[in-house]
Amino acid sequence: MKNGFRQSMAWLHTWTGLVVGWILFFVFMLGNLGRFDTEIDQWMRPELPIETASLSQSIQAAQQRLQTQASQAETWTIWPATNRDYPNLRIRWEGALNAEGNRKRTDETLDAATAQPVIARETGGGQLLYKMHYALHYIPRGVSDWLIGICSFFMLVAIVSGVITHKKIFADFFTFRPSKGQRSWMDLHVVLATLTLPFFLMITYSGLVFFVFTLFPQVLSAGYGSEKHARETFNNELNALTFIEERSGTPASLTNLSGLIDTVQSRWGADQIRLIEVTNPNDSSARVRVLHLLDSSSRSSQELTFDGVSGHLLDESNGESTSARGFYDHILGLHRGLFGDLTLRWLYFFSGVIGAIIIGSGLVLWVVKRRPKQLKQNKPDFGHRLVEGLNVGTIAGLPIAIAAYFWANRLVPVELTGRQNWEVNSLFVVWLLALMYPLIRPINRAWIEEFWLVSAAFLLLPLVNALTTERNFIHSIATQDSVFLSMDIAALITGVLFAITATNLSRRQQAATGQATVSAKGKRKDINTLNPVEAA
Amino acid sequence: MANKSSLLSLTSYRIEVALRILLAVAGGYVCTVATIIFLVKALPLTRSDAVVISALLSFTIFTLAVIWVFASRNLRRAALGLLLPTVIFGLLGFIFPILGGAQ
Amino acid sequence: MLISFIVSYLGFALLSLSKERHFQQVWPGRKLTPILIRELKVCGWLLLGTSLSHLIQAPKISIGITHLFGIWTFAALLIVMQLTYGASSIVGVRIFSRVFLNRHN
Repeated sequence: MKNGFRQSMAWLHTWTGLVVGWILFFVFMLGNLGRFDTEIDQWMRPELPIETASLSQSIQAAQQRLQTQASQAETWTIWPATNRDYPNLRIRWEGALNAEGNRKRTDETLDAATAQPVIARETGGGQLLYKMHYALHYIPRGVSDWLIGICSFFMLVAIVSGVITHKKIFADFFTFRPSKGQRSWMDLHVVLATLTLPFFLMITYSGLVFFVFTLFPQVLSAGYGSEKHARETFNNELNALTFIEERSGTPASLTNLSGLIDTVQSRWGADQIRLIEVTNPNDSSARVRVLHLLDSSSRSSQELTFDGVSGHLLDESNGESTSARGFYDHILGLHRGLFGDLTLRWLYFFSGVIGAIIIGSGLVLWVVKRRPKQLKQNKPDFGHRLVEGLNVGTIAGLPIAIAAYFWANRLVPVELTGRQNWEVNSLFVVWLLALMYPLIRPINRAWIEEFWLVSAAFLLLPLVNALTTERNFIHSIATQDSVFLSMDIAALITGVLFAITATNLSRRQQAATGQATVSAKGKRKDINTLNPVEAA
Repeated sequence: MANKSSLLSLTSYRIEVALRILLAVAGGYVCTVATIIFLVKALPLTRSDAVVISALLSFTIFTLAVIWVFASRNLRRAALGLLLPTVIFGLLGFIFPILGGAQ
Repeated sequence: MLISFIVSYLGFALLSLSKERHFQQVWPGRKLTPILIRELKVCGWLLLGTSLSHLIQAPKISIGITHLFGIWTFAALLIVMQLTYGASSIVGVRIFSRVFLNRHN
């Protein structure tokens, strides 16, 4: 097709990267925010109290609530506040498998003192941001799984072909040459991609693994036939769930769950419980599984199994498993990164930000590379204009949209029914507007103005928060409320960084136009006014 | 004249690119499916482990197939390189259970 | 974690100095001899190797590996930034120059 292996790979890299670049930018941005989904959740529900109840009090309250609400459910799950991902006590109950092979689930956040659901504003919170990075929004899961799966696969091809293309990995390992137009964009793209290659490859491949049974259902049917419960059977076999007991039908009252804590803590120490799962509550076959906090990159951990009626310890598992399953668990666990302390989460976050910058710079590079040729024509190609516009609307526009989501959380009236949808709608409406904005403005102005908008939106966010809640900056300092404080600071830093970007961009652009008026000849001027990004 | 021939070569270039994309996506997919089905049946592991390992390998195989299609000198080579493993693994995956392999 | 970061950082600093372009940025006018290249490379890789000790002190090896990749990425990134916007700000340059340069020139 093209001459030479490297040239073909360069072609493949360029085009696979381009077609899915914008969706992947979205995926990376929201996935990154998902590293702090719990903190964002807390920020977006400012009414929620900070949990103070003891562990046994929480578990008692959860059991009481589940008993009154769902005494005949198939499973109960309790997440005490010791679980980092749910800072408040949370419960779930699930019914039996229905005809479509699904279970009906109900989730509640509880106040441990009263055993009643807490009342907080209806919001998608950080969980929704996180969820959108793999499930998108407005479209059914069946479609989005395929979409994201395919896009991620393109990404994988782009990474591999990119590595093949870039022959001087070690020679250029440390090299970045700023203010040199296309050269600089290339350096930026290459240096960042080289440095974060292990992370980038890991996050892409492991992300794909989540979709493997959607994209390749044959692998499952090759082993398990095409029966309806193949997936369920496979999961049970994989997870070696030996304790799945059929409901016996003999009623038996469930043991007091908080009574099991002593046994658990004597083995693990205090506050190490991730979740408690009860199968067949109020039946003589009841079992209680207690899971340890995640402490390795595997997504499974130590667990204890108790008899749900007598409360006797039946089994103790150290979370190790067969090598194949262990490998699988580690791959999925590495992607989620839920095991990490705060340092690791930040490492993940910044690696992901770099990932977004790599994608963004790749998209810009496509435009920068083709611009000289476009300028020779009277009118740039439609495709060229489209890519330029999508770049502005996504790279600068998506951050505005995310800010809009946070703004909406504070500004949409708390009583409004369906307000959760309005939060999400505002994200997508603002994004759409940001995508259309380059249609009415010259592309270089659109970049700068949208960057200023991001900056303003984030700089004002702490103010909006202070005006709409009682948990303002000063209050946060006084009460050592680290979540609200961090959100305020993070918003300010984001705002400042985008302001710096916008100023740099307009300064370079002014310098470029100044130069152009000096040299004063038509084409030269065109190049410069069209090239603010190239100059960066 | 020159204009016309360059237009012609542009069209043939576009057709070739389109064919390669089609081959990479469809051919690569079929090839991957044949290979992983074979792997599930042939790997001397428990059923669930064999499925997991094959699933994990699927994207590596698919990627290699795509790279192959775009790196090959001409379309025929590209197609042949996919067809061969597809047929071989497809047949083996079919025969293996009959011969009384794993499972 | 901090120690592993510093060790990796110094390792990457030495490795970057073994490249002519960056060597000239830090020590303009000095000559980068083949022997010097080898010394810088060996010491750089040794330091990076030392940072592997992070794996031993980590609670679990899988967490250690994850940490280490993060540490390497950001240590190298810091070097890249410093090489770009003021190579003399790299920590340890003065010591490096005493160790590696003075003997030869």
